[in-house]
This record gives sequence, C-alpha cells and structure tokens, in this order.
Amino acid sequence: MAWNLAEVVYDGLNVSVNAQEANPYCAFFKPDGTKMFVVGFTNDTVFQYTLSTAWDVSTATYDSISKSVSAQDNSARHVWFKDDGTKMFVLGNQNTKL
Amino acid sequence: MSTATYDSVSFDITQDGSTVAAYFRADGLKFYVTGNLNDTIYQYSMSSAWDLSTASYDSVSYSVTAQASSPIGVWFKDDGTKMFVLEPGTTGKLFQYSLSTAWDVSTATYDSVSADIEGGTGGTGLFIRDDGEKLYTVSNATDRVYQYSMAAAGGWTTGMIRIA
Repeated sequence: MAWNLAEVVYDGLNVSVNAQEANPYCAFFKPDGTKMFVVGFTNDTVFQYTLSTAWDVSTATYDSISKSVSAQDNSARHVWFKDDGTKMFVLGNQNTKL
Repeated sequence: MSTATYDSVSFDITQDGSTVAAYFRADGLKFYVTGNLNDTIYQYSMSSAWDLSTASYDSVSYSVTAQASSPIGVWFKDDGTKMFVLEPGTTGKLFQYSLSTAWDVSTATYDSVSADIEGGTGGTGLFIRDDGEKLYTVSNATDRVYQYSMAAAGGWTTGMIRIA
C-alpha cells in the first residue's frame, strides 16, 4: 500500500529552478508526469517545465513559458491546475486570496 | 500555460493572515488551505465545481501546531482518509495524519509518523502523485525540487525515518 510516509525514501533526484525563481515555493505536476509548474514569491510567476522521462524531475527542462500573476498578488505561494488543464488557481500570501 | 488569462474571480481567505499552500479535491468541490499564522489547515467547499465564486468556509479546521509550528505544504490521499503536512522547522519534516471521516479535517489525528526531507529548513512545497508512490518537495533554500518514492506495498506503520 502506497501513501505510507514511514517508508518514504529519497530517490537521489532533484532539479534546480534557480535560473527562473530564487524563492520557489510550490511545484505542481501534470497528471501524466510530463509537465511541471513552479511558482515562487520573488517573481510571482508560474514557470513551465517539460520532463523528458515522466515523473523524473532530473529530466526537467524549462519550456521558456511562464505566466506572471503579480497583478493578482505580490507574494505568490501555490499553484494548482484542474486535471484537464483548463483552470489554474494561484494562492497569494500578500492578499491571502485564491 | 502561456494562454492563461485571469477570470477576475477570487476568494478571500479570512481565517488566517498567512496563507501558504492549497489542495483541491479531484472533483473540484472542496479545497484546503494552510495558514501558518495559526498553524492550521482550513476546509472550504464550492457549490459549483472549480468555481471560486461559489466557495465558502466549512467552519472546519485542524490545528497542526503540536507537530508543525509553521506548516506550509498540505496534501491528501485521494480517498480523503490521510493528510500530509510539510513544515520547514529546524530540519524540514513531513507529518502524516488519519481522518476518521474522509475529507473532514476536524476528524484528523496525528499518526505519529514523520520523515525528514531534503532541502532542510527551506522546505516549502509538497506534491504527491495520485497513486501515492511518488512524492516531491520544494526547498526555497536550495531552489530545488526533490523526488522521493513511497513503498508500493505495505500497511500503515508507525515510525519515523531519516531520508538519506
């Protein structure tokens, strides 16, 4: 049975997103594991990455695609997508709003 | 994502002055927000799925302050019976809870199960794959996303491990 935190192990895999965001706060993945989205509160922008191997973050490369949400909040902390990718939600800390 | 436009729809989280993470249920009818001013997970409903203009507070919450004095990431098992909370703390930890009533955070109890995470005190974001076999954390100290595996078989054991 998965969902067992007592048995979690680090895969030894990671990726730096510093080139896009110096204070990343959240990562969200497409349901098939081929896309990753990162948001942070330095740029208040959602950045998009492609994973060449699904669910392996070490294969992530930046798509040079982003969306600023600074007009809605200057301290973006979280991003969430509806499964079909047609809705994006951002949680801000400055205005405490979704 | 480059095609995204703002719907001019928002929802005020008035229960906590420092909102840091959110989790949406797959059917879009419930969402949860971590407030790290009160160290509490708050529960909300939407009467129309995925429409924030129909959102309201359920007047239901759960304090995690006994484990996490400044919680950030929150995630739920897809059947709503388990909750996971990430806290930077002194080392960066994940904590596991059971919900006796699915999706009702007021029924949560701590499982006495935790795990240290990579990225130490910079731990912020938490994401768990739908099957519960992969877990990801973000550190704003190292500016990295870290990947973990959870066992594909086994029961809900009690214990604590150090992630190497």
